[in-house]
Amino acid sequence: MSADVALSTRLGRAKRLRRLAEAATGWGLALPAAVLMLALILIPTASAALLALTDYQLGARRVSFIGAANFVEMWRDRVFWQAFANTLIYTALTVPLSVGLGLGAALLIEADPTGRTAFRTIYFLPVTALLVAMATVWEFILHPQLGLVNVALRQIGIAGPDWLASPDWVLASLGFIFVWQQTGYNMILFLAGLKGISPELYQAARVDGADRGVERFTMVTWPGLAATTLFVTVITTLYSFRVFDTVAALTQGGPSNASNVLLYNIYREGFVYLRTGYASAMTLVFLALILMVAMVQMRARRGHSA
Amino acid sequence: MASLEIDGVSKRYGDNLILDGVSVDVPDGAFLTLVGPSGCGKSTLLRILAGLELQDAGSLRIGGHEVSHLRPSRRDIAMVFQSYALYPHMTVAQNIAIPLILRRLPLWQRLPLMARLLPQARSTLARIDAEVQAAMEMLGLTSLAERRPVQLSGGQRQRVALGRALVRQPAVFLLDEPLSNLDAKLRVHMRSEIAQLHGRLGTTFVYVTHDQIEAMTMSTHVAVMMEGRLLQVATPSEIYADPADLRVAEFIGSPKINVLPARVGADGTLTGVGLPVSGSVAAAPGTAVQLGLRPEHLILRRGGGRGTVSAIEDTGPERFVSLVLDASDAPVVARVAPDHCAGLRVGDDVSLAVLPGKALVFDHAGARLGFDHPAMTPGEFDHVR
Amino acid sequence: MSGGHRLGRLARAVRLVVLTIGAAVMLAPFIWGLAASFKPAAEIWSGSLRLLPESFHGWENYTAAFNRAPLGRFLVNGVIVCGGILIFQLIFAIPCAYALSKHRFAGRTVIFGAVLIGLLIPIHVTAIPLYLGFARLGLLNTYAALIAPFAISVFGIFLFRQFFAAIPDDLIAAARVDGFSEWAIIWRVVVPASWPAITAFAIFSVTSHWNDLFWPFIVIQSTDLAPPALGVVYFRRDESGVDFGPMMAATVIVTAPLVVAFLLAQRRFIDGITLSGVKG
Repeated sequence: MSADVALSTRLGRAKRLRRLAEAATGWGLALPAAVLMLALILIPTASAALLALTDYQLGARRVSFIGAANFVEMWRDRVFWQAFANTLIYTALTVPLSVGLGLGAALLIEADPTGRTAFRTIYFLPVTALLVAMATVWEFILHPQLGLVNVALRQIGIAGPDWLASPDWVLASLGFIFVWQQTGYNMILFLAGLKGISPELYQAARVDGADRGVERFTMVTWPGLAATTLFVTVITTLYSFRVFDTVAALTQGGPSNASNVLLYNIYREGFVYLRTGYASAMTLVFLALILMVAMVQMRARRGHSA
Repeated sequence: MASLEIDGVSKRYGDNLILDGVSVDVPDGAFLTLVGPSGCGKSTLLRILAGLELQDAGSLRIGGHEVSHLRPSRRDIAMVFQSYALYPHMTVAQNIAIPLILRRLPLWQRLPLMARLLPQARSTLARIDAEVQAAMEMLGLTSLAERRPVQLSGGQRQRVALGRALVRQPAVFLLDEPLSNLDAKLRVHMRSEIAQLHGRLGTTFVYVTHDQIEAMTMSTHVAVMMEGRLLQVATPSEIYADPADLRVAEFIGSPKINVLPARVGADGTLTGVGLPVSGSVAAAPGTAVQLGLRPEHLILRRGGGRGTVSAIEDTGPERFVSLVLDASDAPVVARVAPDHCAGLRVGDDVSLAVLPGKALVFDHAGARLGFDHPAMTPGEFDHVR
Repeated sequence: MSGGHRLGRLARAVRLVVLTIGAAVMLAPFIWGLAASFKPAAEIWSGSLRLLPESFHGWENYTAAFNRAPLGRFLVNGVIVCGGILIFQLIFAIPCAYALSKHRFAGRTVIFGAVLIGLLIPIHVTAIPLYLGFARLGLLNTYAALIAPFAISVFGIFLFRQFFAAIPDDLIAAARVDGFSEWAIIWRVVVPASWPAITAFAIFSVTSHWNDLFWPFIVIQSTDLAPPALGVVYFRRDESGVDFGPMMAATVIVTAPLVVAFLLAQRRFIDGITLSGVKG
């Protein structure tokens, strides 16, 4: 009897020890990462939210809490609204194009074995290129007098605009560079999605009487790609919100803010005009845009799986 | 090498009692098979033996020493996993050597260059290498030494997993459904290979399976588990011929044992079965009981009006005749020789008898009841064979 | 796409024409930029559509590029920064992901929750407070400022957690029976079994930080510390666009490493760069 008691206490101790050890190893392994997440992501995000409520200016001695004043100012700030609108226009321009072209390229490449690998490599090549460097080449190609595009247009009798200096064309030109880079990325994701569709479904569709390619596309391919399409659209949207490199390198937001976008405006307010508080408030708007997209994605996915 | 004592081991996950006071003792060198349907707790018991999980109560002794509080690597056990759990990035030889290296070389000697520079580490490694070679030879793996697990067939992986276990010369081998990922033919082959290995090593084996054939063919001791309880531990032939519980009788044996409702008559004889069963039950008259009859213990005769044939299956060496008894409408299967009752067809009228002394009687809860039967009268069954 | 069905002759021709036009657009800046890097200024500004240079000026352009800007320095900075970031990301993310996928402990869900929140927050959101922090620590304009903010990759944790979860529990149990410590299990069992995920992540991480302009643009003022993307911006600023030949040469030099690496290891690159396309 007493031996039993001794054993059960020993067992209990071993068990407690083991649970403790398990928790200790778990935390030991995860703690460094957890601390860094806190220090480098969560606390800075919270700090940005707090800064947004102050009038802090970089290097200033005094800070005061000004409530929502930054947001009120933003509401009246025409430059902010222009940057905000430009970001949305840029997104509306680039997302359908790069998603559509990516899908088209994937479908065409998969349709026949000829040149499949070569085309896949070529279309993906821009994704690996250093964007600011390639933007420089595009600037050269889009040069108003001597660039490849306008010289070619002139030969067929069209006077091309000054792509990067015309307020009407600058956003579209930057968008074009984005589409040039993003299409290959989207194509690869669509190719992966296509691989996931069972060939038996196509055979079944054929047996069921879908004789035309279009019918098989609407019956099998398109529904089979629904999840991929949603995902590609979301990720392309997030990337286009983040447009910064081409603006910073080629236009600096010009001419007269025609290519000013949210991130570039945040950079300018925060690090050129040193209005840290105000820039933080705009950061929150940027974050809100991201969260909205994430929510739309979550809802769409739930609807899809339901 | 060591005896194994499992004493009152219980384990619960939340509200689920997975093991309910399981106790088994087996002597050194035994081959203990834990068998039962999936979810009966047999794998949990094995993982508790290994130290991968801790029991809530009860003790475990290996070679007389309490091991419950020890880490897996300190228990002097080796384990073969269902998925083999080979290290995918290591060769066959490395997979087999790693438990020895981890045990015999201190950490700093395991550093890449150290082992080569230190004479002491070098001689340890040479000894390990010799043992690994011996193990690979024993299992016929020598020619595969430099392959990686992905380049091996299922049976070869199985052998590497065995090699990794036996190279350590543990006190107890634990094997968790090691054959379940193999195809049927290989399974039969590996079955005999493992049994031979056990014979050669003479170490205690604990083997978990849901396959009764594996349990019956390899073990010295079979432990049948159900719903977290141990129903019976015995030799394979005892388990089959002398089951302590109806669930044991039903689990072991294929086709399944026939179970017929019956009632104890005034003199202890069985009534209401629909066929004659001689003998007397040790229970009060009027008690409802269950009669277990193995298919091979039934004697089938044409005519007699006891039942009707409902199906016939010929497997080649033997024949299973399913029939419905007129008296109890319970389905019954008889196993007969293929030439017995030639020309028998579905719908034919047959009668049945029970080989004397073979009937098993259980109470309503499934516990075995004593059943005395009269001595066989010479000549009584001559007409059958 | 049509499940083994072969296209008709006309459809195949149309497919080839359309894809070739697309390919020409995709390749245009590479070819045009490379061609210009071999041309003298006069030819570049002649407005001609000729691809090949009439007089080969490549040597002059490339030496000029190296003389005017520390291109080698940019590349070395890129290697230091990307290598540093990657090492820290692996050191911190792998143990955390292992703990999240194979250990049960109080607080596990909290940490995983933080990972999921972190996935939604890009550097652009945290940039201002991080900048203030580095300024306070006197670390602006240092390698530390370039590397530290990315030392933790929540995406890496997320990805590795998913990958580690697919490693059979039996393998971990076998390692414990064999006598591996938890730390040894990570580096000697889990990591070697996860090479595909780790190389893919490495490629993903290196390309995204090689190409990143936003953060270096903010924290770096000195040419000596500029990674390739920022280096290009400095080069442009100094050249003010007149002498295009050396500029194109510089462009070729900073773009080449990743493009060549891609051409050499296409499959791995595609897996790595599209890693963010792994559905969560």
